[in-house]
Amino acid sequence: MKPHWINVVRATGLVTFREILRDKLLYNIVLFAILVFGAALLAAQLTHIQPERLLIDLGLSGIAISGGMIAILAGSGLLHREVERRTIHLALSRPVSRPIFLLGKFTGLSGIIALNWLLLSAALLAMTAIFAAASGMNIGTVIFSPTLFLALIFLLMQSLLLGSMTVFFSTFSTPSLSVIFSFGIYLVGVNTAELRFAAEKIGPSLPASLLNGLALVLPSFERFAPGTRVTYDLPFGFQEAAGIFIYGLALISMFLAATGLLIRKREI
Amino acid sequence: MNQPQDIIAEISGTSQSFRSGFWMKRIPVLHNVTLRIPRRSVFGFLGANGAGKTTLIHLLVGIRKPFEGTVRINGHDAATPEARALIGYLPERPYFHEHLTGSQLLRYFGALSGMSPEQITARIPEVLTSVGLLQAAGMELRRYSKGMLQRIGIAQALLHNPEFLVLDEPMSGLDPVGRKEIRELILRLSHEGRTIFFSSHVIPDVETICDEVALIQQGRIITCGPIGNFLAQGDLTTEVAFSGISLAQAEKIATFQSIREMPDGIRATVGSQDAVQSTLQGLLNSGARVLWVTPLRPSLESLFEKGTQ
Repeated sequence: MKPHWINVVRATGLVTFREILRDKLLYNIVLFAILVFGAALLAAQLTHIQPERLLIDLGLSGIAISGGMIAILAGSGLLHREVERRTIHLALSRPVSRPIFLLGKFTGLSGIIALNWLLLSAALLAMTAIFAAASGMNIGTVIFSPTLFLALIFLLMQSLLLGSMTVFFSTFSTPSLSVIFSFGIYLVGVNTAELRFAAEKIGPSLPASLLNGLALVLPSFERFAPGTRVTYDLPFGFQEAAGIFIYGLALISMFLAATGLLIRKREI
Repeated sequence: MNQPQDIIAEISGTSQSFRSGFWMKRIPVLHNVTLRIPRRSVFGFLGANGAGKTTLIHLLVGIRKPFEGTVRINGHDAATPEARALIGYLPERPYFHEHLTGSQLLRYFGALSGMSPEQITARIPEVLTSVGLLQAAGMELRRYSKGMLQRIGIAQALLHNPEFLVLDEPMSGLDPVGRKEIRELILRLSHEGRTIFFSSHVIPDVETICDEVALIQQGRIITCGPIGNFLAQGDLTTEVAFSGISLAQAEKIATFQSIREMPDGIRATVGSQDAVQSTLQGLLNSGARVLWVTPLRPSLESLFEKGTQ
């Protein structure tokens, strides 16, 4: 028989997964990603140099935006809904610890993020394969690229990290504030190199130290962004790829652990 | 010699407060509450809205920890998994994940209660039958009526076969038929040997089914004990109904506490037991026809009013 906490995580995760799956917002976000794919296809047809790269680049952006939006918007209401509707009271009146309940909720959210990622990734690869075939290119060399595969994995990790960060903020703030915090940190986090660059330009001073401090403390989302790597099909080194992977996992674990500590103390 | 009572839940010197406002100031909600709930009793917990009933229930089911004092269930601290495994809880106006079916909801709570999938599968038809919802097992909760939601709430509370049921306003928002059904269900569960603690601000509900009653007002327990003790506290009066004489004639025969004319005769209330005999004699002597004589016990409502004054 499985340990009790695993059953709790699974059951809570399943209920959360089903709950988010019924949210119309999810389908609007997926529709938005499909529109980005359509725009990418159109742009690729208007391009003569490496059109398949443009298609993949824009497609990856669509997956990143859609995954991020789902993570932030669904993650911000994850606990709030339970507390507001008082369904959390029933769950916590059972022999269930608050951190384990929260882990179950995050598992459900992760399931939705993963499902969205899987469907959109499959759609992007299928669309690219069809485009390559229609343009007389070698399908294998276009879509079976380790760089593209790793870029997709890192996008998934980025969405999960955004989800864990938003759930963390939602333990002590309202859903709208959680969205603002997460989105703000994401915006700064994808520009940490610019923060360092600005600090270097300013020279040794307090503002420069503050900028360097921010770049050090905030999650560096630019590590997960494929950038020009996919465009030029530049391979990731093993150490680099493992480093990004471990960095993402460590941050997710850290946010979940901090959320677990906060929710223990929260009055519900 | 009195046998020591077998106590299932004990709340001792418990105070609770909530943080509120910008400065997170503590607002006291419960003040030094002490309560002992006998095993196998039906315990009614009466109080006006905002008196602190739900807060005390949250301490009892381990959702919150008291700021001061202790809450113990069968000797375990109420916040421990051991204590929570013994309790089945129905919150006030329960809200469930409405996208789930009755069966899926029970599976979810079964897993949270530590039951194996086999145990859950075997138990679901039993509890659904006991609350009369077997036919609605596959229906989404969004389609359930208020009464059905209350009953599925009781089903989830019963699922892991707990010894102690804590029901917060179980009859709230139900029509008379629904209230009757829930009352009968509580009595049936009590006959199965469970301890039932339920809060209410509707006095007849408590009066009909409880063995023990506690009254809370502004976070303080005003009074607590067997319901018989409460009802014995008030003055006993007797209602006499008669016809054949006028109201003016009747008023000359005896001093009534109250008297009123009805289409079928006159109804009057006699204050003391001693006065009943002489009043009846006087009525019969004046040619009145006595329709009925009914002793009136004090209602819990009047005692509630007394307590809250």
